[in-house]
Amino acid sequence: MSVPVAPTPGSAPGAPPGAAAPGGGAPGAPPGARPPLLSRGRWDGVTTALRSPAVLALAPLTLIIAVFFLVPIFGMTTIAFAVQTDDGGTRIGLDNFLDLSSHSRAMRNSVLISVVGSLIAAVAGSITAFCIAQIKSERLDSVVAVFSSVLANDGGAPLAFSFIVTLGNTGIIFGLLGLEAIGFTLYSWQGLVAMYQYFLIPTMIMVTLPTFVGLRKEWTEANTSLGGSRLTFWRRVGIPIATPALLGGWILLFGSAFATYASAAVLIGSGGFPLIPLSIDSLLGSGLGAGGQSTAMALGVTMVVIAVVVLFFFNRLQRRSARWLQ
Amino acid sequence: MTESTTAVRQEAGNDVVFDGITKSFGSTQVLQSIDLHISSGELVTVLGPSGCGKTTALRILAGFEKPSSGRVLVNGQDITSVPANRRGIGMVFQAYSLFPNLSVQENVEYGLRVRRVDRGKRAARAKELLEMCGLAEFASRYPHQLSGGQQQRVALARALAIQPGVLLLDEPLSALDAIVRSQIREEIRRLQQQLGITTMFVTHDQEEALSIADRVAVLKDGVIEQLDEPRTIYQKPSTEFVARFVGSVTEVGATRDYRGGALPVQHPEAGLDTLFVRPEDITLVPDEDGSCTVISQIYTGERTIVRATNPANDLEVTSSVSAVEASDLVPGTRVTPQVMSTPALRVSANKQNPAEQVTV
Repeated sequence: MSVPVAPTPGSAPGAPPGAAAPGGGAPGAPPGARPPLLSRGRWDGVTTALRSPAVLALAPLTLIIAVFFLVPIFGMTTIAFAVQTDDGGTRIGLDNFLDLSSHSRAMRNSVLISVVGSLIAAVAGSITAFCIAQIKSERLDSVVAVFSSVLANDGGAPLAFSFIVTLGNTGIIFGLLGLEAIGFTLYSWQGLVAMYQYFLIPTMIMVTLPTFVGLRKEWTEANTSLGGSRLTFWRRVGIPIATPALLGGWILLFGSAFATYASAAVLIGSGGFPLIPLSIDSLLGSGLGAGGQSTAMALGVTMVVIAVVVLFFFNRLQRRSARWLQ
Repeated sequence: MTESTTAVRQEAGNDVVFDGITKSFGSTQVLQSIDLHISSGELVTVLGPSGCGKTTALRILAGFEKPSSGRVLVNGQDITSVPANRRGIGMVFQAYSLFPNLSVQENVEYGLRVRRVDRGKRAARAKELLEMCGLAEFASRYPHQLSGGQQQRVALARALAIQPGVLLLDEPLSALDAIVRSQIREEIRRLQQQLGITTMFVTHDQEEALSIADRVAVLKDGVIEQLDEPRTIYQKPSTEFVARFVGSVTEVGATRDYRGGALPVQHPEAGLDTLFVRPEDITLVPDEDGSCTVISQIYTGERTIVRATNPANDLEVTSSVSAVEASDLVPGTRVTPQVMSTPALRVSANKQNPAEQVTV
């Protein structure tokens, strides 16, 4: 069974642990007036909440986070920073990370695919979401929201298989469209980018549709009564309001593409086109023993850092546009 | 720079004419032949229950809706086919119409920016308006940092910045709490009179409509029921609907030969004329053999509203009394209600023509 590594909004590993606790901020404090993240005031509510018996309700969540998130991260980090010394002992050091230079091709590939794939999906997805919002049907909006969230989480081996039978070298659509003539092959970085669109575009629609739906009629009408054209509206109001959501969506897509493992593994295998998740897999499966494992963990830690940074910015941008649209 | 000169030329003081305006959405007729003349510098409130077509009328003047038939004239010019963004009409919406990504100052400057007024003039005009609306210190804030009342003040300043020929207000106070509402209501009136700007103000709140207007148009089912000064609307409503919708009334029966003056209240039965009497024109006289019983007192400060009923025939009487009088009218007191002076409206018993009025 493959475990999808893609960070979805529902399981954001980048969220600080405190965010899960009830009363994470000072009660009744208006948004935007929160004390700084590291100040004492920001965590007062949390400590009070932790003293209440209601904290028992958090036990299942705490257990899951501990077993599936904290313990693995702790283990991974320990191994990644542990270095074998000549006398057989271990010390803490960055040596495993320095070894990563031999994986620079995997990193470059991962970044390339994620940047190109997420950019295409961000453009296509936001245009689609914009068009859907123009229809102004609440029913359509909710149907699209459900479908896109299903498709956004539809990755893994089945997806790769679907692409192989349709766009692979003997695939139906591959033959129908004569893709061989233009030199397209699914088993290349272009093929991966194409396959990723299948879940990246719905993710983008899911993230940006609320923004386009949330653009108020009063804003367009105020623009009109003040003498502005439709173009003026989009240039001065519409696009600036949508920008944080668009950028945030794009960052999320980048993270999602970056961390995808299963579908890429089925399609590409561990051969000609290394990606970070595939390299981790091959390092763990190889006979290199402890050395391979340490390097794999160092790669893993690198990925976690990138995912946390990406989700941090995503969160910031989302919050900003949410405030505008409330 | 032609656009900026247009903006300057659109001086306040344009009269507005709705000439036989009708509007249907599909098979629903929302406005049935509206004729309305708003004089230059006048403030007319359009008052009516929800769904009466008042907002549609305003949106037709703004240019957001096209009338099914009829013409709209501003300053004698037919603007029916002029697009909304070329009408130079200022508009304040119910709420949340400020551009959230722009500061207060940028919001106020928006219309001037569209008209390519240069930066210095824009800033000076915005400053002037913000001061006029008491918002000078909020210029660099963003809409989400303002209270609802402050937001509506900014919306007003933004609408006035383009020196519009006509100002439209679409229930601008309905989202605010009572104190702020009356403050801003007074400010709107002060600015409107100071600038002498022709204004149409749509509301469903009768107190608001009466207190701010030069004239009130009461709208029902797409028809103007009455267009008069606030005092006349209240004291001499021309239809039963206006009498019931504006202020409260007690419906009293009277024989055909009643010619005004004191009258014991009786139930409006078939064959009797119906009098529509304001609370201040009814007294409740404590009387052990009285037909009615006081059921409630509502203290409103200066006056107390006392309600009494006659359980035998469902008669309900509303009277407005002073605090001293109210002390004798606690719930449970038996009373005899009396009409003291001329009723606001009298509708003849002749039901073939319910609108026929008998001069009292």
